Amino acid sequence: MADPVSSSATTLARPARRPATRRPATGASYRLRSWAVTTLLALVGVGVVVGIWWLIALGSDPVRIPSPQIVLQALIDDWNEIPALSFIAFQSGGIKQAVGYTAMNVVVGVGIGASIGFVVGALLGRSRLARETLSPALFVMSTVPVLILAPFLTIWFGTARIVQAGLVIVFALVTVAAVTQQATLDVGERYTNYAASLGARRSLLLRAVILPAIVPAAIGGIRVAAAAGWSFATVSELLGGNQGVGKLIQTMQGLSATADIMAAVIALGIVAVLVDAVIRLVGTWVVRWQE
Amino acid sequence: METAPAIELRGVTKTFQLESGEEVVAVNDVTLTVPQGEFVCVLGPSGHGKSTMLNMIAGFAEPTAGELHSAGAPIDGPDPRRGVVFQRDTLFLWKRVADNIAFGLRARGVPKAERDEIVERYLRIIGLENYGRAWPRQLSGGMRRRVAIAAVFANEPEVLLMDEPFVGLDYARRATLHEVLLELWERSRPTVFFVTHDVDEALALADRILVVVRGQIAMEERIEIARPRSVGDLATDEATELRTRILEHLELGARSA
Repeated sequence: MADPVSSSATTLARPARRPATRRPATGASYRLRSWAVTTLLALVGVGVVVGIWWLIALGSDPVRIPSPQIVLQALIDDWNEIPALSFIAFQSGGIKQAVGYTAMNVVVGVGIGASIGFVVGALLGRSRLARETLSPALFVMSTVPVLILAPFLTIWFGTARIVQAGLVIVFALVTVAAVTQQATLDVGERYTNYAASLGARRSLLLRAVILPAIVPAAIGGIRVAAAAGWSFATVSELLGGNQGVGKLIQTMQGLSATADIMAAVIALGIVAVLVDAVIRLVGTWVVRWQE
Repeated sequence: METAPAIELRGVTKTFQLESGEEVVAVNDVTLTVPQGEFVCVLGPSGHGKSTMLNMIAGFAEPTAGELHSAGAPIDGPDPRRGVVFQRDTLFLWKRVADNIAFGLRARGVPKAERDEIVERYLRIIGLENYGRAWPRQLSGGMRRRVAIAAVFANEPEVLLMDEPFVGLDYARRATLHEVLLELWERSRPTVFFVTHDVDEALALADRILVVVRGQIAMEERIEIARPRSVGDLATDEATELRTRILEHLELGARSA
């Protein structure tokens, strides 16, 4: 008798393959079209906002609400150097340096906070003892607004860079730890039982099962932390920094240089969008196996 | 000396405490012996203790009373000699199909070259030789079950525990999977403990059928028909009579629950 299994199994494999190719998102032309439409819509949205801004600026004092052209000019002129800044705030450079300083605080701060948070979250998710010991204290701490930390950081560390990155680190740590803990709990008995019944020991279980299973949630947490990080970094600089976009805003406010403030904020916003895009791209690739 | 039975339950009872404080007896004083190489199908209404028995044999749960042995040794936790196929497949979504099949071999320290060879062989048997590099999400439901079965067989277990592994598949897919399962089973002849609530599935596969009602073995029947069993084999007067008796037991159990 001919082998009935492999022959029927292979004929069955063919129709079953169809769902994969039917999925529209995998078609290259479809992807290109949807990308073009998305980009176009985004540009239209930006255009509308700039248009409204321009109309409002038409009837206002340029010191209070500068027009888009004035802000763009300020961005170009003051990109590398704002003389007033070095004179008043002992801060060298221009918008570029300020945005670079703040962006570095956010990226490094989220990196440090998320790394610690990932380990803490995984530990809390895995160890019942750790969970029951630490969860109440962590819960109380998480209800305290992160901003309260700012004056303490200043008292402890003065103007050191850790003060500006401190809020970002703490927020990233708490956010990533929370989602990672939940994801670790969600891996559940099913996977661990299955892995154990195949002979997996603890280290392989952690490395090959639990770790990859919780990565998607952690990436989500990192995106949230990074998005909020820009506010925390800038506000820290406003409260007690000597560099960065926050400090620039504070100094320029004293000079009524509204155009420079808006230019710096817009530049920071663009960098924030780019950083998020990079995190999203890397994240999508890392969890490309996801359903 | 006679070889020790693959699975042995002696007076096994398992009770659960509900949140209301009420105690539920899932498995009630069951004694059962499954010789090596036997294909046992366990039928029963949902919630009558089939899966609880399986979980205890797998080593995922401990009995409240009684003893469980496998190949002469007491069961005290999961063991790669007892493979498990779950109702909802447990493929690792972050591992490609080939790596899923290789997982048990990797866990047991089988060298890479040997692993690749074994995986290749199993992919061929289940008819998915071109899918080794695919992610589980790219497969259909039937293909995923085939991979799940291959992943357990590749580990060469002595006992195979299957907890309603083909639930939710249409008739044709299920028939194909039965063929795949029997083909793999014929090669290495592990002892199989197969939980299902489908009488026809049990009739198609089993050497022996156990009907579990309210945590106890209510009925036990041997099936001597040669495999593979055709639709005609299972339509004889004898088979029909057996099916009727099983269904009566199931109905009785369901009514009294």
